[in-house]
Amino acid sequence: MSVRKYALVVALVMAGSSAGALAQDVPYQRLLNADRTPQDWLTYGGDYQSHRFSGLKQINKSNVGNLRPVWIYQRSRVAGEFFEATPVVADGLMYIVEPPSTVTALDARTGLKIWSWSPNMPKDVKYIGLHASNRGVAILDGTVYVGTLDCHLAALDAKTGALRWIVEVEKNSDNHAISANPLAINGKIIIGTGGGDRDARGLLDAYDAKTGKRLWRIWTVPNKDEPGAETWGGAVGNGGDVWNGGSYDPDLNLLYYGTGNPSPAFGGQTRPGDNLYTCSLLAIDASTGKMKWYFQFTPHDIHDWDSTQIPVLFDSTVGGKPRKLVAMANRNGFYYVLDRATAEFVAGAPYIGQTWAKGLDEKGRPIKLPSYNPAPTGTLTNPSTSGANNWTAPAYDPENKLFYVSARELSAVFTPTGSNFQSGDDAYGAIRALEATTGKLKWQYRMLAPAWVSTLATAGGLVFSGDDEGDFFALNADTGKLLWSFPMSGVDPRDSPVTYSIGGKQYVVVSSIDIYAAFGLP
Amino acid sequence: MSTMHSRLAAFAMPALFVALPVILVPSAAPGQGRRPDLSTGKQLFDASCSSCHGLDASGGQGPNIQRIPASLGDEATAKIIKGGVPGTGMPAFAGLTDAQAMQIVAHIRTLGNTAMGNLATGDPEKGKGVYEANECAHCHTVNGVGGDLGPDLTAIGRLRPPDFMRLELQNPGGNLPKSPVTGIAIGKWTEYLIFRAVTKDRHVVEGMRTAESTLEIVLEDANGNFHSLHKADLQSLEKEPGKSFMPSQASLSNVDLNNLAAYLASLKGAQ
Repeated sequence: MSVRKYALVVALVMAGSSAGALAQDVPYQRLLNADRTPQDWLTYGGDYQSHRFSGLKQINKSNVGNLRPVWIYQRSRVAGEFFEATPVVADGLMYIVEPPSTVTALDARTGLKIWSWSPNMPKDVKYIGLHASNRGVAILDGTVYVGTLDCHLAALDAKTGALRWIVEVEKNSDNHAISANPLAINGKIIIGTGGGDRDARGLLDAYDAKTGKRLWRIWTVPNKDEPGAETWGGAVGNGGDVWNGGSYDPDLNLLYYGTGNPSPAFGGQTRPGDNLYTCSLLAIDASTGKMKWYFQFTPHDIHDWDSTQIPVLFDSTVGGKPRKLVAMANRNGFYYVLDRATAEFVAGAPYIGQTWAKGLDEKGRPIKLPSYNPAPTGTLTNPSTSGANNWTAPAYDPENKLFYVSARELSAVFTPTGSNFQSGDDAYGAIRALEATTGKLKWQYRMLAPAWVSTLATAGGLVFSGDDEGDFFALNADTGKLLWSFPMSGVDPRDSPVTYSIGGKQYVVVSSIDIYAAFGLP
Repeated sequence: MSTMHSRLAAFAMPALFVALPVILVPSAAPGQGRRPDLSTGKQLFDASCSSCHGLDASGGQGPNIQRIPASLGDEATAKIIKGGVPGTGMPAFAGLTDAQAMQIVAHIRTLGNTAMGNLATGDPEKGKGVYEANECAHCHTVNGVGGDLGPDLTAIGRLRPPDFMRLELQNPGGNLPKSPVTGIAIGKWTEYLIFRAVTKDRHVVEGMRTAESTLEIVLEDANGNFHSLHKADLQSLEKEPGKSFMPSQASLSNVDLNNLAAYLASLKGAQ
């Protein structure tokens, strides 16, 4: 079937469910109301609040035990490369990114490939992260957006994959690369770059969705004469890179993005001070790119604890008052709840057995123990450099107000120059359900090893995630009890499950190394 | 882009400062090419390699590279350090001199071994006799001959010094190796670790872990039989650290032990 013919069929099939809109058009209004169209998965976090919660409940606690594979999409194995992208699903098409930077559109019902697009990248393109990873695309107005390893932002026709425009965000030769998913808001595409561990300076950009023209840029660490420069002890800051996704509050018109660690990562003698605005959450005016507020989680980080975990926006009542909140399960081992309009610290608690801080003070600043500074002979510290959580995303369940995070109980011996991970036999992972407004542990599901899998919550009362040995599983959202598990047996999967529905049938899709697999009821 | 230009000028200094320890370490003096300076190698390794590979090169976010010089050779390893590995997270450290890269390689060779002496005091030929008399080949392979319950010893002499092997012979479970980290997985698993599983019908299985997941475990017993066990079906599952299927050779005479250690140290690869 030709692409054009196929698109027509999809448009006809979908016409009923998308109220007459053209398939894959996805205007801003649909993104705004993403939580009301659970048949699609329109953004990285499922909605602008990054809840990773779906209203679908065909698959639920009573029948999840019958879940079975429906299709598998596989590409040839490429050593050192892992599918890490959260699929975006719109009107029956699924958009994934195959590393390093190939966008592929699949028929979400069958896994059949519709089109693929790859950028022309120079042979000597720098892999700035550990490996060529990409966390996914954004979709808006019939266009799919992707950041590339060589640090470009590309806009593709959502139906054909034809390139509409491509712009250079920053120079790859200056150690910038993109692994993060772009975020599409009203007429703008938001994207940051990675490279902070190679001395690149963190940034976040907004581009005109139609033309690719840059609308604003914010640097995340100050120049010599800018506010915050005094927190670097005379050095000019580097790092603070925005290498993961963010969230958006359309009412406050604020973007929420976490920043990476200061550079160099270890030691820190060359950069005395808090090193603003590294290891922080930034609230940024979406119209102007100006910083509205910041909250620094780990002042003067020396453990490589980037704060690029996904910020989750939710509203709740605290002390009898309705509050607009933002929560983050930080790489440093603490869970934080802030007022997302003002940055006021509302609550915080460790969600792993962290060993470096006595606790948080009334403003949320960590009270560091002497062991925070590693001895030359080595200091055993939890978490390790890979953190209590890293890039994988948590889920928030608005029905029981729980926050589900894949927690990593993995220590390392730190010295002033580096670190050594502890043995796998001394480490473990757990899916932990925290009370969203306090961080109090409600339940946990223990796993053999710390995992690299995001969580997905559904109205079916389920939490989906995976472990490091390749089991993809479903837990009872209220108790953490294992209800279903499928051994995909790909060691070290790193994925982000999503769910959607086509023709009345609910699918759950997850990646594992070089496959995407869809599951459904018989 | 004007912001970017002034910015570059501003950070030229600190960037240089950061790079100093890497670029301005003492360069190799004449003669050092033959005997690499280990302390310089350690400095360079800690600054440039440890954040990914760990301070002891046993892996972290990058793989375990302790055995790379032994398997690829020093020159090839130095070439990787200077040229990187395209398509992976391993960057090119092109700013290093050849001598500096060799100093790093020499340092890597010291890692993963114990700090004990490397001089074999025994007689390898006589040690071979001890190896045969004690039926070590029942479980170990050398040059393709022998059993597979224990590690292949064909190149053990490249990895471990004689003193280390003498200790291992006397206390085989005392220092079990950690599995090399492949890809970018994090977590080094203890190899040859013995587990004791008791099923719900009180059947006991004792074996080495050959595979494990959150829900399942596969044990290989002392006779080489595999047992695939569902953890939920077990009454108990316990690690037995310090234990090994290899019998202790502590009853050997000191001379035999030294000779056996010398023989093992002489095994440097397939012949």
